[in-house]
Amino acid sequence: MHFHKERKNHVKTDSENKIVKVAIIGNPNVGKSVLFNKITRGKAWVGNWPGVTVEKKVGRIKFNNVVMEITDLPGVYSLTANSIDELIARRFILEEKPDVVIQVVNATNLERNMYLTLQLLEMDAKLIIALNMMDLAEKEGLKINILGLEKELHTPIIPTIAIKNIGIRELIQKTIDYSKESAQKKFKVRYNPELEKAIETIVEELSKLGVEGKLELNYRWVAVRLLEDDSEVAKILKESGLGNIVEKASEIRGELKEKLKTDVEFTIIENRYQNILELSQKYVERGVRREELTDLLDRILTHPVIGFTVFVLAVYSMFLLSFNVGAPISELVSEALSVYLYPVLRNSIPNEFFSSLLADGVLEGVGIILTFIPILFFLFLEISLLEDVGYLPRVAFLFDRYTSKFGLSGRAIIPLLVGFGCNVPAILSTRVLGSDKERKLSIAIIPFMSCGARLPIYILFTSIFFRGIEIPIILSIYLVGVMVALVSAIIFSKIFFHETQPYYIIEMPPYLLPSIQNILSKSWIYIKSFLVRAGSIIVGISLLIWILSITGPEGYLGVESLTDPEKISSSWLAIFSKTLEPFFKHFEWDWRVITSLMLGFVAKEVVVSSMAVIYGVGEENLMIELSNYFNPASAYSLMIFTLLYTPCMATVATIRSEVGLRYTFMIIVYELMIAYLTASSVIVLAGVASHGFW
Amino acid sequence: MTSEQCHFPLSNVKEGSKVRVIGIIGGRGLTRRLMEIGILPGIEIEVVKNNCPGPIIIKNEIIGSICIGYGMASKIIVEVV
Repeated sequence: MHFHKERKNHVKTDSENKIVKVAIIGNPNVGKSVLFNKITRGKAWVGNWPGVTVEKKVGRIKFNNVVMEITDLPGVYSLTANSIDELIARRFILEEKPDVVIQVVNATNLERNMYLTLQLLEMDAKLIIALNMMDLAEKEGLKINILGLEKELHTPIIPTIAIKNIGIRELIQKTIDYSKESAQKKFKVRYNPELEKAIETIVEELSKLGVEGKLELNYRWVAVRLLEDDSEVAKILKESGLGNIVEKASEIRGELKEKLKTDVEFTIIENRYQNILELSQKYVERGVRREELTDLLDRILTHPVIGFTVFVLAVYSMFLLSFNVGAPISELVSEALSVYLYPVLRNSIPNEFFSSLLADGVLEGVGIILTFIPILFFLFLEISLLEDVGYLPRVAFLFDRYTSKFGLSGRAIIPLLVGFGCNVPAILSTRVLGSDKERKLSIAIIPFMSCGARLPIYILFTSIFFRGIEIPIILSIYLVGVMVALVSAIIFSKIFFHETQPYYIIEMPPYLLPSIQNILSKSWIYIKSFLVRAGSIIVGISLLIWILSITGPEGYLGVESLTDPEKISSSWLAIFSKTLEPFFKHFEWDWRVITSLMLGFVAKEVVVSSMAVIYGVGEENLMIELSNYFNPASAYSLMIFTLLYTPCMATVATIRSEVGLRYTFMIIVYELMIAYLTASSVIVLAGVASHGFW
Repeated sequence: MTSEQCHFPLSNVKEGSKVRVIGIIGGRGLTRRLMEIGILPGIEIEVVKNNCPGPIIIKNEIIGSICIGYGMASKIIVEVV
């Protein structure tokens, strides 16, 4: 992985023009994202780290004429490179060499957080500790001797309460000041005598080679890492032609293992914790732990019956708000566009082609984007709220025993349920999940959650062919979606991720009152990334479909082809559909159905209105018209196909922005295949059933 | 009763009981991961919730309060304090 390779050695006195590069690191759930938002005042650029589905946030601020660029590193417990998150964080610190690294430490959980502190100090990071959640620590009766700890660690410690904006200014000021100071004394992690001897031997080997400058790493850190059998560090050394040192270290490690009767790396971990316990004995005083509220809420929220009830109510009210408040706003927006803006564009521009280009091509795409926003906003508001009060880990606990069978942790239940409302926010909200694998897995199956836009199609067809039993039939379609999703989860986790049981550690933080500013800025970040990253693709696809509808082998058909069934039948879209007809013969669908399905890619609800145009009837007469072309079996298979085939372009664009083009392509192919196979088996089963009965 | 018989996986521990960690029987990666968050041989932990065969919530001063999956919990060998 290569970050932009500019390793400028700035002159430290020249602070006026220099950008201070800061990295924020910390364990999961220490209030890191809140602190990041407070420092950057919510103005951050969000992307993914190259090649992986791990979120990267970068923000720039100006403070007293100094520009700071702050990068939020993934939440990690250590820098051992156990996971992709740890690797990203470690590489960033080693390769980008930030001027200052701020570790956000949860004051109520100092010891475990300090494991990462020691690793950062061993790596020679220029460290500042933001001792966060000081108010909770006080409530729990913890007394931390900050001055003493600061002195012994040779590391500035700034107490903060990020959620209340306390200590943020001091932290920023200290960061700027500290970036100008040159490094002084360092805290040394002490290991047992055997380990120290081994470390010394390797350090000596390294210094003998005089590779100073060539290897910009702390030798003691390299030595410890080699003893811990770190393949990344071994690789760096081998690439620098120091393979002999790697071998030597591996020899020493083998000898030590004999002596210690255990893996060297485990002894090193225990030794680090010994350092930490000594420090905490000196500087931390523990009072009586009082967590009545958290304990009480936990008993309720993780209760097998009450917990599930609360969960159902929470999700129900989430949908209620989004679709009762958000959806009407969306409708207003779409009405404003189609009733007011559309005729203006169509009438005021004399050139037919350009006016249709703007109205039917661009406005169509922009309209779809805009109508998504109100629903997205409310859904994200509520997801961020549930996340910030600390509810999600409890949901994970409740559902994990069921979801883990499908390779997902319990937390995945939230994005999956959101998928029933709309797939786009569901895919974006997989960011609350822990690992890259889990995100990719949930993203692959979310499209099978039947979203609201597919419902009009079910309603139309069930009301024609399944009169009286509409509801059970529609429910059965939802059920097919869920079943396909679960089976796909197993297939994907076995084939691509080679595991079925996810290993994960989820923090159970105390419940917190949420900060409205933080929730708003989180929701805004979600919406912004949808606008920026999916927006252009959506407009692009609408334009493409518009072009394919108004042109054909005979050339330009005129924009009337969008409303004229005669003309559209000679468009590229129709020609292409006709060539596909043989594949859909057993469904008894002709090209008109296929074209409607293709147009459904723009947005699934478009299938119904497209059918009206293509069959040349109004939507009110569509039912009669369709009853001539379909029978119950072919109608049911069409509904199943609509449920399972390629999700709408907004979803596809969002998937692409989250997991990249290759994986998106694979998901699309897989989904088309599954849709085809499942819909075909409906036809086969219906055939068997009718032969059996008659 | 031999000492072997008093040792059992954390996943089998009843809610509310306190246990001492004896060792971890997973692969290197898993063992390292658990040790790094403070699940070290010799420490005592409290089992707050056990959704067996599902996840488990454990708590102590170093680790804090965390939830780990059944798979992980069944690889941590403990004894009753």
